[in-house]
Amino acid sequence: MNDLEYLTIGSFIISLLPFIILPLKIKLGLLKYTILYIFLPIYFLLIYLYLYSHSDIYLSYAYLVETLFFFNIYRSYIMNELFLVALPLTFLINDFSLIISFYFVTFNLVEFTKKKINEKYGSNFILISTIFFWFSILISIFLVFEYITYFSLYSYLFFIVGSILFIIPAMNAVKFYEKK
Amino acid sequence: MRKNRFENRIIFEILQVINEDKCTGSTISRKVNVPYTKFKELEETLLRKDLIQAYYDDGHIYYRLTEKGKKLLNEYLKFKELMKMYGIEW
Repeated sequence: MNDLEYLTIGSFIISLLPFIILPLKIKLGLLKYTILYIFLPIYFLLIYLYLYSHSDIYLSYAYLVETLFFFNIYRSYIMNELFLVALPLTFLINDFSLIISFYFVTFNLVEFTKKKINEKYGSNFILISTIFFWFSILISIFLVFEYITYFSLYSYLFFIVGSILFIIPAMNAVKFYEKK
Repeated sequence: MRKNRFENRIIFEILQVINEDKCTGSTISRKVNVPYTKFKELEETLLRKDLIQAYYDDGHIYYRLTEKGKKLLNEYLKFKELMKMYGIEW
């Protein structure tokens, strides 16, 4: 097993933390909570399978899961299912998946920043996390179109940092709950 | 009345109002912004599920949360706080 595989397994374990630390007991929130975090461990698992087997099919699935992850947040902001019909296409064409992901993550970044400035809520971790995700997708797009490289270490590292920052608010919510 | 609110959310708002203050049915329906008839409908569900208790004081019926109701409200507040951190309104 190489360093990248170890890093992927580590990221997979970290991305499972929200499910271990903060089990919600209400059905209403549980579904939204699960969908918010579930795509990250699946993504890392698929990347691990890709690194292990070198089969491109796992990378295709990983791209799809990545798009779904950003789409879920996008959907929460805009409450619009319009892009759901476009998602199956992302499975057929990876380049298309990256472009859609880029649209979602850019939208999420703008929307979150607006909420942070105007309504004064939202965690700084999520803002920085979204910036990391944005760079990750941007680097991926650049490498696909410039060098036809579908998996890049730099893009992946940005995604890992973004993912870790993304789950930190779950830990903060535990602290808030304990204070209450 | 605000539109598109899920019934679950109205229930949590009712629990929150009851938790914050000593309220009669009409005060709750005004604070939560639902018609009184709708409140009575939800009140029945909440009493049946043992989430609230009704009691008499000064000739009026007031409500308070049961232990089960308090636990459920805490879970909801935890979830709401978490969603706020992600910039998601709930």
